[in-house]
Amino acid sequence: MELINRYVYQVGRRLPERTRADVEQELRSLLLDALEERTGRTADFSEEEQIAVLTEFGSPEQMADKYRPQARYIIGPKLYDLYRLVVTVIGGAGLLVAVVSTAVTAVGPDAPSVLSLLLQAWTTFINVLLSGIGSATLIFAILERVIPDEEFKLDAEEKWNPRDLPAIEPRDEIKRASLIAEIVVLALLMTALVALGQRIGGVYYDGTWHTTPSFLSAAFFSLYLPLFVVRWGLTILLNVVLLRQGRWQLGTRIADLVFHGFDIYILGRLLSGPSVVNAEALRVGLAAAPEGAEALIGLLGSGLQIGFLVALIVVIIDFIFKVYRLVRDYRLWVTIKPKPAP
Amino acid sequence: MNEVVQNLISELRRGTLVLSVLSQLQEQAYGYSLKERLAECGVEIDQGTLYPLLRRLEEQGLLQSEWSLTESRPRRYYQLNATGQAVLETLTQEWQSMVAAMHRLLRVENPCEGAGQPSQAELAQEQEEK
Repeated sequence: MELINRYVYQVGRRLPERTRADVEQELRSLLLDALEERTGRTADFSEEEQIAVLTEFGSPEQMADKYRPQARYIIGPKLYDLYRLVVTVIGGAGLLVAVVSTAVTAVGPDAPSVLSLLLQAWTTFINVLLSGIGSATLIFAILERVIPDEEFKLDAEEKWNPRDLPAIEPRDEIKRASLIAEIVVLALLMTALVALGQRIGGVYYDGTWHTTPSFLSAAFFSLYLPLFVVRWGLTILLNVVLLRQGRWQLGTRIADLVFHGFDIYILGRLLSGPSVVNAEALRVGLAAAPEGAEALIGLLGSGLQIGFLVALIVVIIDFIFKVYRLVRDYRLWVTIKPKPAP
Repeated sequence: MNEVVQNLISELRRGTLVLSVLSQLQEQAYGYSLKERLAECGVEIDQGTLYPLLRRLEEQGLLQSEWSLTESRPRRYYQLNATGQAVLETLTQEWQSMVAAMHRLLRVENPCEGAGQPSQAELAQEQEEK
């Protein structure tokens, strides 16, 4: 059944989320009907039998094209996958350009305020994103109308071989190795920060060697560290439950969602509250170069604020996506009702 | 040449798919059973074409579907709804009128003369019989 599962997954991932689960379920049922008819069995289908049926159905790209809603496309199905990849790359490049250009401004002699830096980062990102996506859309729209369909059809038909279907990455399956790694890393980080956080500082020399106070501020230990400890502790607990259950379930998904809500709260506190950096410790450590110390303090402050803001945006988007998926899946579960056989 | 003919035949058949499918869904059927039913009547449709077509017809409001969970595996059953039934009747009338028109067009002599009327050859034959 491995090839059937991979095929259904590959078709599904090319479809709108609204119809994906339903089409996947129907397609699986139809493939099994075809296999049953061909072999006379209801299970234990060989790879060769699966390949024969899948070849009859056509490549996942072709099948998904036929299942997609009929619409007038600017970018049609034949170029859609490539277009999506290019837009993703443009998004990443936009983010990179925004962060780098803002960082360069921040270390310059006339560094503006944090708010101005954030505004600059945001406008740079949007500018790169809009101009990049606009240009890409224009080019792809032209290609869509210039390249004949036959070239794509021939290409897809020649390349289609069920054995080449990529492996599945199911939503409900857990990755044991990464869960265990996360538990270990978080446990070590918690222990290190709680036990040794006060000693994370620097050394300086003024004839004799001295150590600075911790680079982490008092606010970090009193306000933020308890929040981190609770959050990471909850993640470790969730990972342990997942390892025991073996897959994601409704309860663990809701817990994960609540924990992400907690992330938003923590990032909000970090953005609006006092700095996590102990500026005084940096001034002590860099007493020989006070201008450098002030520049570093400014850079760290701005960099962290930008980092927290970006993290907050990412977490909020992820949170909305998770809520949507949970609601959609739940609706799906209640709409499939048994009916008497005709 | 053969490829051109094959493409033209495919195009011709493609135009009949919707009517073929609608005609067999006055009773409930799931995807594979419908494919078999059509094949028995001499209409072969690729599975990759038939199954998405069923969903499109449902989205267009001509079919209704329900999942049956009482068999060995869940199966989706399709059937015409009231709109689909009306559309089938209209398309059937249209088809019959097209067949008659094509029949006239494909006559060897005077193809378009007297649409819906007997041809001159037929009238001559009638005269002789009298």
